[in-house]
Amino acid sequence: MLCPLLLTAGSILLCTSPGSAQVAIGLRLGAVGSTNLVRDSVVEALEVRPAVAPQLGIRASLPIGGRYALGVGLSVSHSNLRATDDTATSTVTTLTMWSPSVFLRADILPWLGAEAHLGLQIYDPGETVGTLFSQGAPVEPSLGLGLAMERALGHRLTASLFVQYDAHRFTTTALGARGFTGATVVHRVAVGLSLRREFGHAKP
Amino acid sequence: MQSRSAVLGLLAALTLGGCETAAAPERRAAYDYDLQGSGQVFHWTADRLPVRYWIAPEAGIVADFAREGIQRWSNQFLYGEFRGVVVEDSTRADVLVRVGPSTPPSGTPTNDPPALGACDGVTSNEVFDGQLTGPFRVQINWDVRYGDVDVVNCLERVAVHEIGHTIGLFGHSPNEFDLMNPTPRVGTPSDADRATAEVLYHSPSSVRPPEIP
Repeated sequence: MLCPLLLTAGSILLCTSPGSAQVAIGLRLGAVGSTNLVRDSVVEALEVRPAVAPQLGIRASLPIGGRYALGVGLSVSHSNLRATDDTATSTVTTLTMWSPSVFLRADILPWLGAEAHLGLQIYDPGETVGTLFSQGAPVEPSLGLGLAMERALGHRLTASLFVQYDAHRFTTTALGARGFTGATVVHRVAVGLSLRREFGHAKP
Repeated sequence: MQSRSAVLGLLAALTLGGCETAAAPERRAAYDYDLQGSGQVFHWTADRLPVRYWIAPEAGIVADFAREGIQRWSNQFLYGEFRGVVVEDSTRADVLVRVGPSTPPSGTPTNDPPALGACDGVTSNEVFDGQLTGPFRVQINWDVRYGDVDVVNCLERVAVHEIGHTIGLFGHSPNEFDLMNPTPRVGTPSDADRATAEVLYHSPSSVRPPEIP
């Protein structure tokens, strides 16, 4: 799954010839951590959360006037979903998370950008039998904010160090069928590096 | 100014959701699951999953019921506590399933209650010094004097019931609508069966699994 994404993004970044639109294409590589998906109690307290996961993303944006840009992005992360009680940690399944989003970016300072994004969290478990995903994996809307410290590298290339936060609600059909009520608000924080290249005519 | 308001609004919306956590249901074991009232408790540990089931070639329709039983019991859990797989090599299996006196008739189970006596099942194991000495042995027998429908209905319930013993539910439920009732009327674990299995798998096991064959 990651290879086609990387190849596509790399090809766009390296091979696209300048056109009339001033589109920016970016690649992101980082790590994402998450709070608990489930807090349960069977004999003793139990917490279920994804392990810190490598995250890869691709984004495209267009300036919409002033210091703002509007864009779309897709990131994917993959790690083990772990259940931890007082005595042991076990792996429930592997978990891939797809996160498509639209974002609004603003240049706050020449070297600092901020953004707000609205997207989806798509859960893609490796195993469904005998897990909280046995009756289907959720797709949940998410909201987020991000900051990026940027540095121009020349040739319309910009590198940045980013930190991104998002939150979404989590529950599954299987949890509901077992008597869980409500949903858990899951908070995620990602940090990493990105490389962005602009294509098209520069602003007059 | 507008962008600052938008960011503050978004932050407020995220904060409002803040620490909300889904409320978990309470689980209690509905019946005893220890080994013949001895207090000895067994469940498969994560390092022994998936549990390997060998089903005799002459098992016929019981092989399908056993596979279905493994699936039904696995799906009682939320956190991957139990998984099973059918293997071809009996010498490398954790559970051996045999059927007698011959290959049973085939058919699709109905919702009719099974006829008592059309079949029966026994799951046996031996414990020595806090450890199982070998694989679980499941023996399911059917009675040729009963009609095919009664036999098939009985075999489905008994096969899934015996798989329940092999996951560590050694006891029986007094409730006739629980799968782990001594004469099961249903073919799927009930809420009580599920809660009992969940409590078992989150309790300390006093009996270790057998050595890996």
